[in-house]
Amino acid sequence: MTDYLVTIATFAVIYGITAMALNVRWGWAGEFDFFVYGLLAVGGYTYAVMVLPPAPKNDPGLIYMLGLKAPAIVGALAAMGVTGVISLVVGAIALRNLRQVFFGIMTFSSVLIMTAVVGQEVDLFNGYNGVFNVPQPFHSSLHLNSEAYSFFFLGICIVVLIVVYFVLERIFWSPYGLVLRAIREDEVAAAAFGFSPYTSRLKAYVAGGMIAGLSGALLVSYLTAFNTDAWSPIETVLIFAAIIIGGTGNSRGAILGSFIIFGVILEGTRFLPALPGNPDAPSAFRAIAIALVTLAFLRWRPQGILPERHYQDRSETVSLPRIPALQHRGDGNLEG
Amino acid sequence: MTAILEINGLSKHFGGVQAVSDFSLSVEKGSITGLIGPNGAGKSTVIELVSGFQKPDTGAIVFAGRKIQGREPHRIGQLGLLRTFQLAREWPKLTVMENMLVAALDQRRPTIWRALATPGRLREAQEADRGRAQAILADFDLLALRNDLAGTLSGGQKRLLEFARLVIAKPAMVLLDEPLAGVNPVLGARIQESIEILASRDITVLLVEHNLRLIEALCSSVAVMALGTRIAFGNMAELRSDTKVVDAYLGTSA
Repeated sequence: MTDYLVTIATFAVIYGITAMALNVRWGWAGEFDFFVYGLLAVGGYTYAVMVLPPAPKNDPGLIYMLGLKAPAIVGALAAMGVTGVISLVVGAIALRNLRQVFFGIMTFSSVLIMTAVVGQEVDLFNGYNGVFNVPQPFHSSLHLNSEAYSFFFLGICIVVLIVVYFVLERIFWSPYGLVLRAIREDEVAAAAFGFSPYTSRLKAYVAGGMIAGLSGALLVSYLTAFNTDAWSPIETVLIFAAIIIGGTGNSRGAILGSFIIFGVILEGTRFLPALPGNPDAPSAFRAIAIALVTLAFLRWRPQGILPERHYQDRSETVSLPRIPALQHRGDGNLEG
Repeated sequence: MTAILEINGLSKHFGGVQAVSDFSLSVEKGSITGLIGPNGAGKSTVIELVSGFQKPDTGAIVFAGRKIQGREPHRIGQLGLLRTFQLAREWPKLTVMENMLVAALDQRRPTIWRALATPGRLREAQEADRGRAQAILADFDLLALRNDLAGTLSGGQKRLLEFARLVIAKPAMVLLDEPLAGVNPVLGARIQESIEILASRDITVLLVEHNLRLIEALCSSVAVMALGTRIAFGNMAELRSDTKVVDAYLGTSA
């Protein structure tokens, strides 16, 4: 039972980091982005090929690039670097003119193309076989038994979650975060006040992408395998659901939503009785449950459980003298 | 007297419509200059061209000694030339105070790097901005609403918030596009005061407006546009006796 709970918690924490990444793009900047799950895959693959030993020369079933046997931290940084660069390229094109649903279509198609290319290019990425036996961070040096190691790994994930949370909080409350939300609300007005919508959005897109890449590295090091089949843009919908339920624009909400989706709803529906002769029923119920909960939130509480937070000015205000121009009122009626 | 904004030979067409043709205007520093004309005269297009939201076909626009024609809107905003729109454009899901804090920012300051490297300095700057914002919001009767989302304000309050944002941004010049559009007479008086506040803070104003009483009350000089070009320039008394102006508004008599 403990094993089971640790497994669920690990997944929920990793997806919590992914949800915070998507929240930067969707909650803060307002981008209807489907590329984030592709970045999870890119980050995961980059991490895997950085930390794996070189691919065996004479095994046609196992082909991958690099194989640098790098330390886990180097692998994670490489994952963030590669996803940052890819986000920069995709964002630089998509953010020029596309907004909302058009942006969604563009990023959705980009992931489909990426999945197809990775799946077909056996010589480069090993196609749908993926990579496996990815070493886990510090596993060989710590000599822990598997139960102790699963706690240790959960600890790593929680530390990463906390660091990402505080970095994002600092950005959220900074002038940059404020300007980004103003651009989300009305980019024309923001441009008129001298803020570049394109540059600000692109920065947020890259920052969100790097965090998604980091969560992908964690996910692959936890699963010890990477397989293209498991990565589809449909999965992004689950992350959107987590943000909508938890609270759009609020990092705490993104974490809470991930625990609700991946911890409560996905796992809770596993205990539903199986329907004889209908093996697909449990996963269908799971999808229906998530859809219903998400729709209910969109209808009755669109801001989510923990809404976006605002700068609150609680200071005592003294009555300030009005400036002279206001004391002589104009000629009154201006009706022409 | 020096000109802060000089427009020379400005032209712009949309498809087959020549919206602005060979328009020239010089706005004196510190003045409130009016720009009037019948509907479709091209006044709003001039604002769009000067503020960078549209690119001119030909012509030169010089603001504070720099050529700005064809530059992106945010670059023009950074030079201290701001504008308003015919409909109020607040940032609805930010609070009134947050709207003010955004407008108060030095546009080059907000970067992720600074957010992570120097959070303390940014917080101090924000405290200073908050104090200024409170004083300005008090002038516009919005202080009590400072923690409300701007989207929940009434139409008139949104207009006043736009002026409050302009005041805290400390621009050198503002382009006001029909600030009285859809505004009741009582609020109209407040808008007039708001424009006087801008002028009292050494902000040059170019005012596009259909309400000639407001123009007469505020503007020392007024340009009249018709069919995309300037047909007259002077004070309102001079313009009233100008037959070209009367014809433009009432239709040319045969």
